[in-house]
Amino acid sequence: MQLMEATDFNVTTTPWLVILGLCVVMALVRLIAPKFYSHYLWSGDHKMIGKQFLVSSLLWAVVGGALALGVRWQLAWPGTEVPGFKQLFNWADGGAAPEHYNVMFTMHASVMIFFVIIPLLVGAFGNFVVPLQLGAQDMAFPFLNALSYWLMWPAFVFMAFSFYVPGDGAGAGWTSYPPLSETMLGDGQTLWCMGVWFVGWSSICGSVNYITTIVKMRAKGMQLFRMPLTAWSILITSILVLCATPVLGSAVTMLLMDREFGTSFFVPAARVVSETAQATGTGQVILWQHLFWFYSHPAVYILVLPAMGMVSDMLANACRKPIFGYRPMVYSMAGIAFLGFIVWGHHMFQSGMNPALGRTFMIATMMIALPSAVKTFNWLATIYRSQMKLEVHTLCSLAFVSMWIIGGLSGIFMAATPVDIQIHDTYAIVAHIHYVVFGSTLFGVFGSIYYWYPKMFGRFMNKPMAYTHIIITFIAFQVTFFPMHVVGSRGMLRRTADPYFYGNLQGMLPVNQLMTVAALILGAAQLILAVNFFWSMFAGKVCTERNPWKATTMEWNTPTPPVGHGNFDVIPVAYRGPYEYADPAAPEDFTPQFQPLTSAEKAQGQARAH
Amino acid sequence: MAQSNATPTSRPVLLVLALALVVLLCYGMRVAFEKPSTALKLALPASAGVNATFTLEDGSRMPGTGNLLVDDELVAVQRITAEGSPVNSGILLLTNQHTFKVLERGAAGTKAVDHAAGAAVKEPGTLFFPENFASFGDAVDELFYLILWITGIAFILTEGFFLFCLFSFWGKPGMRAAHTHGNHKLELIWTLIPAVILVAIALLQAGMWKSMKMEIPEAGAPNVFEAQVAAKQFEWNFRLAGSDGKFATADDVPAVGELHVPVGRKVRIVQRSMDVIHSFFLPNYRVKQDVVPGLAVPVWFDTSRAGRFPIMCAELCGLGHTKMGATLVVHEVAEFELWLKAESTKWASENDGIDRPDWSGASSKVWWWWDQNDVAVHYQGETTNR
Repeated sequence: MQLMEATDFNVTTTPWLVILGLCVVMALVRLIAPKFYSHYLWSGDHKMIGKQFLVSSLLWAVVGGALALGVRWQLAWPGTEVPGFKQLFNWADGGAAPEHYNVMFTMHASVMIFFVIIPLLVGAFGNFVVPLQLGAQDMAFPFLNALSYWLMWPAFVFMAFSFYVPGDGAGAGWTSYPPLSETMLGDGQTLWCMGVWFVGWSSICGSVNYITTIVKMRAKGMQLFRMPLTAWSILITSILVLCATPVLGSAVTMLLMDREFGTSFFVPAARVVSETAQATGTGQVILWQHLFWFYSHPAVYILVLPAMGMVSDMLANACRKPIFGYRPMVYSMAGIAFLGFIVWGHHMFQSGMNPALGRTFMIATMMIALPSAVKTFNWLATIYRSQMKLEVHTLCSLAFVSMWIIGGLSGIFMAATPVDIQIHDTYAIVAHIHYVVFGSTLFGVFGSIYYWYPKMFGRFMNKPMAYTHIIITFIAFQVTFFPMHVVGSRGMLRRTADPYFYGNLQGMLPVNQLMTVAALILGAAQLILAVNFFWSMFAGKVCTERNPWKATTMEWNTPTPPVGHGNFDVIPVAYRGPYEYADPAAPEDFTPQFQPLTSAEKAQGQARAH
Repeated sequence: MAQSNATPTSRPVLLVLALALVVLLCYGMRVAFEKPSTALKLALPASAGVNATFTLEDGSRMPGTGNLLVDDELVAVQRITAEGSPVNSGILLLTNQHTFKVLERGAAGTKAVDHAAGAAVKEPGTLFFPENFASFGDAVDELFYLILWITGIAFILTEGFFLFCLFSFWGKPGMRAAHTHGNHKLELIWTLIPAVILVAIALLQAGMWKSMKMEIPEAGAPNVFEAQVAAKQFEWNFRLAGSDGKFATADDVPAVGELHVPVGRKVRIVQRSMDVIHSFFLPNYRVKQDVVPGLAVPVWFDTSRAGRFPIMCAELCGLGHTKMGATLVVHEVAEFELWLKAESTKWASENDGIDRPDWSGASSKVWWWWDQNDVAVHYQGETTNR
């Protein structure tokens, strides 16, 4: 697939032309097929926007996953061509050159964070589930909601183009530290900045919408402390997004201006660009790191909080038991969000930042382990003395809890500043982030897909396929990522194309090959999910029940799938808390929020009021 | 009616089983993480210069060639083995009769797993960390293992409980889960216990961090050896003061890719970068510090053993990042003084009569740039100079 010659590009115009072309296509579709347009393209319906986010994120996950396998391939068989990459990315060396290795890990992280995890959690499930859980007919601002999805598309175009421009794609890591990201890289880096900028806009539009919806559009009786934890997590995440993303947007704008318009926000004094030239500015290199991590540390919680909320919902359902300590769960999420803003410096312990500041950040970082621990213990207490029901989302939420323990505990090593000296920028960090973002968040996402799929598409996903997918993924995940803790703390650096250049790392080749083989299996297992996802849409077992999982939250009070724009055929009223499972006084082991109070309950409530 | 599926009589049994699981896992951890402590047993001949045979007491193996510490003196081991495979007995070529310890088992390329299978008095690198030679490194390693113990126990308790639940609480028809919404006392307990532990870890490391990053030995203080590091894409440039003890003079000793220092001194390094951010990483000395353009960042460590150690670039610096390595060469004091004198004389004669020292070779421009653009030594956001 020779897309076009790299030299044919005009970076400043081509992506814009493509975006313009997309707009023209949309306008044409609107003229020719207005119903198709308003239903599938520019839909104001939160359910359709959620599905749009879901499908585009899953497609980008294929790209991000392929890039990850490219990275793993290089670590197992350094300097060899990655099968298919020559054709896919138009690289003559097939990804064997170090500059292409840099592009692979940079774009793997960028794609997975900006195009997969954030849109999946907030965009797809936040959109689809939250209004239903609140008993709202739609989001507060349907237009803004559609805008937040379609603002992703310029980002998609820019990021996709960045692979093919002269001078290669963005290769400064997803953190894009200047000066490397300023002068040393080609136009791919500019397109990366543009992409991130649009993602930022999309997130901001979304977060305003979620906050308004959750604050203003709850059904009658849906008090804040009757909201399911998914809704709570999206509310807290949206506040994080709203406060943090403008900082990233500003930082990226500054980087763009440094690159394209000759400013010197991040250009230090006496820097040498080439043998002959010096570019001297009055900027501070470390300023970028402060700005970037001021967004990106909260972003780490943006990457996991919604999954925590969704897993809490699924776990209570799977265990047939109320979530243990509902209010502490909410407070601990709020605590994580608050502390998330004052710990960004722990990414910068070795950056040349004043070490006295490092100490402050270390203590704040230790504190953030507390709310995380509270959540873990509460999940464990939820499982204790429960009546677990074997479903796919049961396995996923159990996987989430157990992997979150590992990801959380390994974080304590990094928070300890002297230990961080040794493991900073090594595979120990890679292991930690993947235990949190893959082991926890993605298992939460898998579970959510299996859990809410019937409500979305009116069909169940295929169970045997789902079990196969989850079990292979879980095992391959452990083999891929657990050894990274060990090789990392022994000194294997991340972001090095050929670590075996160093004599002290040569012995790690066999372990890396093992990890790569496991990663390939891990990647292949996701094909099962892809097949299952699209096949079940048309051929899965039809679900006509409103509440197939016997759940208690409001979204199960709509027809399956919810018909049309506007969600409820009955006026939704919330009568009780979100997790009323196993009430000994109730006729069944679950009492949904929307089930009217019995006379006994009414009498009890009145007695309490007096 | 609501019932737990674990009946009152079966509950103690399950509890005992879970506790047994935890104890078993703890014991497994102890075996897995225990530092090897077996000694090298030698049958030594009385006279010097002959072969000595050795056996490892516990029957564990010693792969590759390595170094021995003989009365604080480093002796290379030439071990005769069949086909170079790991053995538990062999022959050493020694120069004298001493008590000694194994310092470094295995040359470059020895598998990590072989490093871990221990047979040494001196810790030859643990399962997780490479061997340490810095004075502050032992404390770091101890902190690492302390955290490993704490998190390991927390891991076993939580995951053990998780597994216990996983095997005990599958739903049975007609049964209902315990109807509870939480327990404030319990939650208070499991908030406070981690809080105390975390605060303890935080307090414990504060002093360590201070001694590593904040108490940089001052230039010119006794027993402090100074060196300069100029990082550029993709090489490490090092400069030592020549015989006159001053930098930016004709007899300075520049080098690319090799940092030579004497043993037994505190090494103070001032680092600057010409282009992008690099990171000076010495895994065997527990040193890592980003080299930031526009700043002159100090870093220090002390040398206790002669030898060669890897220097790595830990921060992505471009397409050549992966090959940006260098070597730290720690010399014996007498050897170092001879070496420095010879190098210094060589460079002084090359620069003789030139007003602006025109160092030849790849590093010339680097040091010209360094001397032209003076920067005070400090961290970002710090007002005092170091």
